[in-house]
Amino acid sequence: MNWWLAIRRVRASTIAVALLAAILVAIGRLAVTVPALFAVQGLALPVGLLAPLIVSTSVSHGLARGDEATEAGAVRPILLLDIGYAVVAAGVTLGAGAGLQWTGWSDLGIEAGRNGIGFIGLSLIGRRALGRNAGAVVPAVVALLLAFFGGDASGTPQWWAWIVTPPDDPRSWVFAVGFLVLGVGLSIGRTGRAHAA
Amino acid sequence: MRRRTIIRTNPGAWLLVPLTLLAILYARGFVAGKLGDAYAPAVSSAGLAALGFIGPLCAALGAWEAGRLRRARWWSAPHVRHPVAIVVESQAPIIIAGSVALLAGAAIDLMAAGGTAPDPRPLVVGVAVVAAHTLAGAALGRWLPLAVATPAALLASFAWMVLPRVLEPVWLRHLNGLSLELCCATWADLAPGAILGSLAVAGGMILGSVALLSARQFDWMVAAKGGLTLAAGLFVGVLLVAPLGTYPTVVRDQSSLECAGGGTDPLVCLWPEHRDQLPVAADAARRAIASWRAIGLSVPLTVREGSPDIATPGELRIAISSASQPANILEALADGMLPPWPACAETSRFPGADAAEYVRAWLLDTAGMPPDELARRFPDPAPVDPALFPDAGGPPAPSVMSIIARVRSLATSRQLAWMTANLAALSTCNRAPEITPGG
Repeated sequence: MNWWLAIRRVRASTIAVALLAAILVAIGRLAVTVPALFAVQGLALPVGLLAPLIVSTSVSHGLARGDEATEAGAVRPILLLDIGYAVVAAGVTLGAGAGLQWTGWSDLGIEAGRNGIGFIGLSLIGRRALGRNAGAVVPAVVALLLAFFGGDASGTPQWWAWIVTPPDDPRSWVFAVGFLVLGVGLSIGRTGRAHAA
Repeated sequence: MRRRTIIRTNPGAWLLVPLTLLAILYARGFVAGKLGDAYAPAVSSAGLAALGFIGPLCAALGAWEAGRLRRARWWSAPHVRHPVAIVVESQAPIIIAGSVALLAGAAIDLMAAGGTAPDPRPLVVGVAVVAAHTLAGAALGRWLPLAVATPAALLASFAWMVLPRVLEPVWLRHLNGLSLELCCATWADLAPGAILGSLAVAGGMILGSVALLSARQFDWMVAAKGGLTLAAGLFVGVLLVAPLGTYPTVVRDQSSLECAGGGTDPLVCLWPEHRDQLPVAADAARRAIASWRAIGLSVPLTVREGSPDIATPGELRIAISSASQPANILEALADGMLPPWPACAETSRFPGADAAEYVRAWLLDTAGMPPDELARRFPDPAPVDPALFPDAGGPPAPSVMSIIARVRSLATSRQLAWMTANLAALSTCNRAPEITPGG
């Protein structure tokens, strides 16, 4: 287990969550105006909403570090541990964000936590669909594309631009949690095949 | 490497067409609709707006491609070619794809604005920035794990593109090259400091990245070499852009103005982009200036297009666009007659400001603007509903059209006195205007 913790760089993900919290507190509301394709007025994107990519990148990096051939013969259920690690990291990100928001340290905490869930889900999907090294790329690309193209003509977010919509929009949670569930599902499918083999 | 292999394996080759289509879509959807005159520096600079996403994508692709070589342990294997030659071969397709996409978007903007020849300066900056971000991404991919390098390159590049615009001091925005998209009204030109400053930063990034990419082992010396080169580029860039304000512009060279008239008629000079408007503008200026002079106003005989912020004694400054109608040209002439606002106007409303609409209306009416056009520009104020705005105290401003009708019915000398008093109020901070003519 110690080896698994070291190889997955769990400590780095803990630091990543702390870094996310620091960014949310320090400059979370600092908004950059992203030129949007369908908007005269660009979309205002708070930096804090992209910051959870730090956590998803760290988790994705950890998951990509294992040696698949060696781990295929492991006694412990490595793939289930990996999935559990991703889900716990998503939960911790949401918990940290919600904690910051409820204590008044950040007014973006819950949105950032939601994005953390979605980003980690996307990295699991990317890992499964494009290869384990591409896992961290998918949420970053999706986030930027949503930032660039997610504004309507008046510069307000489209309903599908879930990373920038307010946290009280249930559709944004459907996207975020949906990506995580899909990512977990795809990864579990892989587990099943690995065991069958 | 064979060309077919590059096309098969390099992400730059895969993404050439999608990236170009994205840039074209972006130019058509976001940039082209906002373009005004076919002014080459403005239109070509507007094409740089796509750098906001092309730069980060190229940085990510650069990291990905360098990471592939890293995973294949290519760098530690014996190789005949210099590492820089290998880098150039692996990164060139990405730089080409980014540059083609950028130039395609700029070409769409140019066609939409009706321009014929682009201004190469912003385009050179754009290509340099694409190369800089690609190589910086490659440097990350060379030394960091692929799963970290690619998103890190994407996000760092994105942050460098968009963050400086919301930070102070305002000149920070001119370091990344993207700010050139804010150029230019026809009276302005690209500031050499903005061009050279962003080129210096891009150059520092390229040389720093090459230093990192050409090292066989990563150590503090290599990091210092890369970091110092980048810092040197940044330092030179800061020196060049620090004198700039919000926009990367300087006043345009006046020698490119094209003139008509002269002698007893007013000399009217417009920018080449408005050359089609020259006969209409000269005719409007002749009639307007004659009518204003007939009342006794002191009116310059030279009308020039220029920055509305810079008043030149003895000249009437106007600003028009290629879409201006004769009535708009009359408005520009009337606006040119208004004195520059006093310094106090920047911090508070001054009493003379109330006279601006009345003075403009008088100038337009005297210059011969048709009554229906005039009434459309100066409608009577809508009555304020006290139920909705209980704090809206004081009498409403008098109707512009009724005041102008009264002033115009006065003798010439009285009209001149009314105008002189209100022009004086407009140019000082503490003088009340005389909107309702006395007597």
